[in-house]
Amino acid sequence: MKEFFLKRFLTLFITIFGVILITFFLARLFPNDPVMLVVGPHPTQEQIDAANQRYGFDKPMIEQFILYLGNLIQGDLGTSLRTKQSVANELGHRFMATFELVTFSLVISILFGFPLGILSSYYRKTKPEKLIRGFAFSSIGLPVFWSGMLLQMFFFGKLGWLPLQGRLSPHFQDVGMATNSGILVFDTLITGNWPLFWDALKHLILPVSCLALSSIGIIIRTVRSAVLETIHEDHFYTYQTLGFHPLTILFRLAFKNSLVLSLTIIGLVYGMLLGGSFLVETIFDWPGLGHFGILSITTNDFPSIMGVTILYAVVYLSINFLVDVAYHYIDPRIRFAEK
Amino acid sequence: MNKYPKTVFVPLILLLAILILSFLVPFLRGGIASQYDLHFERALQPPSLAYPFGTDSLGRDLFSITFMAAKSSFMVGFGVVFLAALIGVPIGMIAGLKGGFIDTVLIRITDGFLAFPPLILPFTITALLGPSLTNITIAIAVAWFPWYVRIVRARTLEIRSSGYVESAKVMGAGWTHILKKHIFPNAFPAVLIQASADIGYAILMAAGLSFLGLGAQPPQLEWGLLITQSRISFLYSWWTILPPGIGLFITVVICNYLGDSLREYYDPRI
Repeated sequence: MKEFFLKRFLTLFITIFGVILITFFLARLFPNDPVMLVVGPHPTQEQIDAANQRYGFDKPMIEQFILYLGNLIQGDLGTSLRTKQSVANELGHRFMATFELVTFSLVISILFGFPLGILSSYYRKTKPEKLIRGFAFSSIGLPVFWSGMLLQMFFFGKLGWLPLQGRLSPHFQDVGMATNSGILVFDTLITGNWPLFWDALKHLILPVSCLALSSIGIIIRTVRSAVLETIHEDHFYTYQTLGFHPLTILFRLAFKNSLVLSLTIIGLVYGMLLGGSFLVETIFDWPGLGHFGILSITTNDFPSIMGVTILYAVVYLSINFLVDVAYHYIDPRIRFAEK
Repeated sequence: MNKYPKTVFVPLILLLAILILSFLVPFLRGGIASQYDLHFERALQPPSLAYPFGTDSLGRDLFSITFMAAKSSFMVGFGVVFLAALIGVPIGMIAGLKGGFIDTVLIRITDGFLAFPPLILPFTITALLGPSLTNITIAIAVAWFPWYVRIVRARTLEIRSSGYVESAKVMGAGWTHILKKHIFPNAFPAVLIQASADIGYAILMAAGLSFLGLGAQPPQLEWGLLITQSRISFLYSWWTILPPGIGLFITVVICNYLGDSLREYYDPRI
């Protein structure tokens, strides 16, 4: 276990290094002249020279990369050209908002996706399976920005039950930002601040449901094929002949066996949700990383774009690391094989 | 061609129908060029006999422009898959066939591209290249070619050690011959399955990027862009948001069914 953990940890570090390398070289190779991204429209020659010197664009590529990496290790991602603040600070402010959104969506889509996936394997080749399959495909095909707007139209425009956008109502804005962990729903629940909790929860419902909806389909499909793959093993036929109800077999026995296969999907889904957060945060005006990323792009804020990209990749890789470790822990066959 | 089952044919025909309609509908409703005209005097009209889907805030006929927008989405979808396969397939074949150091290096590099969450890499690349339909096609393809490398490499490894390749080698076949005559034809179905499912995702991703303002630019017609443009009116004029979203949704679902049917056809176990 320990050996595996260390090995996997090392891979994590190498991959993060690769991510930084790719981001850096894409950023240097793709635009014709990176300086143009920094100085903004209509620069003078002096501005260009100054920027060249300041960002070291005149140095060799390798030297630039080492410089960037060195700063990165010290937590310095450069200065945002738009807000003139340190990029690391800007990202830090917004990280928890995105984390809250994405994690809640993951929990919801697992809660619905796993049981539906198992049912879908139970009803294999019958009407209900077709229904679930249709739902899964719809979930995969639904553009997350479109379903988000439909939800807004219905629950805000038509019914007026839920707020249109934002993380808190305007009159709570000042109170809400001074929280401990940054996850509003959690903090307000702990401190028993009910009005604030209720407000935060209401703002969370629409973005979370629209993001969760986009990933349920892929979970259903994966769990279904994972269960179908395990169910053809001999001991399940034994259970059947012993007279266990098929649903008992599926939910209590086959599910455990397919859990290992299904777990791998969680890392991937987390990545999809992170990607979707760009769109959802834009529609719901959610003050997270995606929102910041879009603002940075529209203003050509080059250091921020790189920072957002790297942070997203690091979060994604860390989640996959945790999934791998969990996977290792859950499956006794792997654990005992090593002892 | 009749060896494919109807589950493969039906989605193919549906896709073709959408493509034909994307030319036919605007042509029959006043000509293709005139669909770009703005008519503020007839803005935001609800669906009626004259305008079956209503008009948007710029007074365009939503019925025509929704169908017309299919064209850009198809172009991006096919473009992405074609480009990704063009980069990925040769790398995968070479990695699988040569093995050793070359294989390790190529796989490490492609794995690096897979380390980004989906959508983030295309997002960053379009941010750097500047917004346009061509650029998002390139950006999504760059983010996606690793999947093709993986699939093709896995198939190549399998085929490389099979009997007929061994005997071809014994008979003095060079590696380009083996690639062309044995590995490529055998790896092709796997690429086809992946590609047909990917077209849908590519269209969806491209629409997402266009929605964010990174892809198609006005006056171009693209579903993601049309949805963005409906943002100023959708809360009160529900008909402006429905058609482009439904068009996008139907196309993506058809592509998924196509991919699924092809997979079932080639690998009926699952």
